[in-house]
Amino acid sequence: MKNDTAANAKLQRWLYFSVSVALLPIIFNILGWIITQGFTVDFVKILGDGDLFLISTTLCAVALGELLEVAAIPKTIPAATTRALGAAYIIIIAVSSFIYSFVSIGEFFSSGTRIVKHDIVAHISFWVFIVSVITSSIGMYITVESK
Amino acid sequence: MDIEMVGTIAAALISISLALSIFALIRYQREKKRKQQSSPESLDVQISVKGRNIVVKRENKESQIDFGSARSEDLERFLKKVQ
Repeated sequence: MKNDTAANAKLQRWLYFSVSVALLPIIFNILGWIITQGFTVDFVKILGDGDLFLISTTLCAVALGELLEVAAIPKTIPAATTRALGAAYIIIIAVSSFIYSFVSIGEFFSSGTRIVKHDIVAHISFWVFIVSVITSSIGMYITVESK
Repeated sequence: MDIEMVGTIAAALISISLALSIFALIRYQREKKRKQQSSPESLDVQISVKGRNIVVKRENKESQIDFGSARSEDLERFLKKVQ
């Protein structure tokens, strides 16, 4: 029971500091938008460059590091859990990195000119971020409780 | 390759990622439950100090000893009682 409470406290600290602090640049961007443009926040313009992909990659990379640290200690986490979580993190890291580079380069492949569809990028980056928060929270909960 | 196609592939991959993490959580909880069931039950022992006496209470049986003046046979008797 005591272990559960300590794990929950550590998980909350991780959520407050890692996730919230990582989102600070986006939050300041929204605040700046509100100050200059009023309350008509255009999320497509804020998230359209794929900044959330970078945050997703960082969250999963930190969680993967924690997982590897705990998995090195025998009999802490079942092997299937480690493999599944590790695969989930690697998929998110790969997807985020690939799409971020794809957005940065632009769609050269079809037209020969740089086209970025910010609305689609904003939607993809938002959902990748949500899944990365859920996945890394699950992973952090397991690793923190196993320690 | 356009961004719509990349988005579709990304959606499929992150769905797999979410499914994997949920599977990992379920597997971990099941393993944790199994470990808890297979481990021996913990002993319900309360140890407290009253003045110079040490009081041990286990399943409504209480025993206490004054460690300041106890002899070895008293200690043995005390330990047998609380074992």
